Amino acid sequence: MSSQNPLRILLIDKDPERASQVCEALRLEGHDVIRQRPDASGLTAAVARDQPDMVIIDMDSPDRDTLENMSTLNNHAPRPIVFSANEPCDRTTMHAAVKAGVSAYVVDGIQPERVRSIIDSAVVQFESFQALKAELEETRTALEDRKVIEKAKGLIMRHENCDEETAHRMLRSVAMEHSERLAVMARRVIQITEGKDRQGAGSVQRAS
Amino acid sequence: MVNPTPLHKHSGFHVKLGFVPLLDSAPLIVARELGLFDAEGLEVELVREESWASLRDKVSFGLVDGGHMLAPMPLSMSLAEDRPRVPIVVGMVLSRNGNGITLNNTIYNHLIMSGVDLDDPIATASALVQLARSRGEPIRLASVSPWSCHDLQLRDWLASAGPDAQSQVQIIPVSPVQMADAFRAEAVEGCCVGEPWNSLLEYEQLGRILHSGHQIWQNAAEKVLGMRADWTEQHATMHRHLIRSLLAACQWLDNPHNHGLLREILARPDYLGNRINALDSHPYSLFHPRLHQHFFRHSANFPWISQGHWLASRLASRQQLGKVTGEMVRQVFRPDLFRDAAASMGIDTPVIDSKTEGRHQKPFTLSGRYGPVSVASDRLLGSQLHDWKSKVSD
Repeated sequence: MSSQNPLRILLIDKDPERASQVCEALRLEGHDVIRQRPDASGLTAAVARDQPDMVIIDMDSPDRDTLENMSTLNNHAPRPIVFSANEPCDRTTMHAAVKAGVSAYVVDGIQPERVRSIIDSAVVQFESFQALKAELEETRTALEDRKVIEKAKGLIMRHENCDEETAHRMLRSVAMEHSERLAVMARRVIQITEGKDRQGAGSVQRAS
Repeated sequence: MVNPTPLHKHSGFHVKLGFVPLLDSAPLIVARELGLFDAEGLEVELVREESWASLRDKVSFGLVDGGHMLAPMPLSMSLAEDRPRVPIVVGMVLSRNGNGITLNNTIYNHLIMSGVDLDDPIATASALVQLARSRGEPIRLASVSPWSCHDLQLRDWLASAGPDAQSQVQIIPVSPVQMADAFRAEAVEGCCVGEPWNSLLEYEQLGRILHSGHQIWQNAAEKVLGMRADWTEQHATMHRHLIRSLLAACQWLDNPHNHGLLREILARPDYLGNRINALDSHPYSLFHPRLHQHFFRHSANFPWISQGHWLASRLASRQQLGKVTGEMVRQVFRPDLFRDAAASMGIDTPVIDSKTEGRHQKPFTLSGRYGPVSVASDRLLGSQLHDWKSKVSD
């Protein structure tokens, strides 16, 4: 890479796993990354002490307003990237950052292309982390769905006194009729049959 | 009678609103939970944000259409000179008052011992500066976000003690969720924040509320409904329905009989969650009696041009905005939109758009379209008058 000095980047992310990924990626690019969770004595003190060239912070952190405030109080404090006067980032880069949940603050005078490359790396890490989480979530739901469908089939088999294949066909045709997912219909079947069982006990008594 | 198709069955009646989980985000939350958005045919998605900066960025990049905003925020976004502008329209005020200046027990007791009249903000500001001077170390006060009424009120209060205040009081940015810790660690000795944070500091016996924002600027617009201007142009009807549903929510909020249910709704995890649980045992817990927070009475929701101009002038005095003309404020604060929406619900509004801010010590009446309309008092610290006639050109 170039002979440029490494930039000091303060990284604030409440998710430790994601922070490790971002940190590693930025260190690989030759930057100094300070990872820390600011305590009560404050982000203000940390920024004054460490004098980062740039702050990368996850969008869900309440500390963002603190950084905004700092930038209005102190000319040397990092400024929000979305407002940076020399426009180091194009709108597409910023849009991607906001969407991925990456916020950045930068001190004046750093070359725009360096800022952009750091933001791009952070965005890539945030997005891949998000994708991983979504994948996990999907797997979890799929497992959950299978359990629900099995249970609904069991209930149908008992109520209708039929075999598993018939129960499955019945469930699928009702789902198609209502244009719902199989798991959604299975949940409804469970709700209704369980409700009916309870009501049923009551109505038998009334009849006698 | 045939029921008309609800609007949200048509495509395009979906709207995304951001909010920051504070007590005064209640109008949006209540409108959703009581079905007031549904009643207006709107499908509203509420998106919780942990900072105003995030809300601003998401509105700027179109990830949400608008939302619950600090009153100076739309002015700052629309009229900025040193950065890209994002025009925002304010069709209604959502709440008034609710900020407090809270000091830790040590400083509060010092002020009591000094014999100063604690009800007189100008006297307490001087006493605070005096205290800093005599101990030879500046007082450390926390402020939460720029372009907020709490920040501007804190500065107005300190400025009333004269130019010395700047060197004797140090202002440190701290996020409200860390305020209690900052008080405990004595990193700060006081703060100006919105609710429920002042009440929580009192509840944890970390400090006492010295002044309400109400004592600095009476009945100031605190939060507003800020929507992206291009959205309001493309969705004028939806905007009107949005104002109507939020106005109904504000009316509901001003009725104390509803506060039990309100507390239950706000405590849900999607909204304020366990942040307000600490206040459960206190009878006045939701709305601190000293802060005069309200949502509807005395034409609270009317977006006065003169109040927008006042806020803009305060931002300008902090170098956060350049010179602001009345015409510029008119692009942002839109009493005309509010008036139409309110009239369609049978709620009368003042016929004028501006008044001299700071002149009224008590609630007063103005002419509405159909009769007299009650308007809240508007005294400003140090009996300042903000005379829009000399500053706002039509």
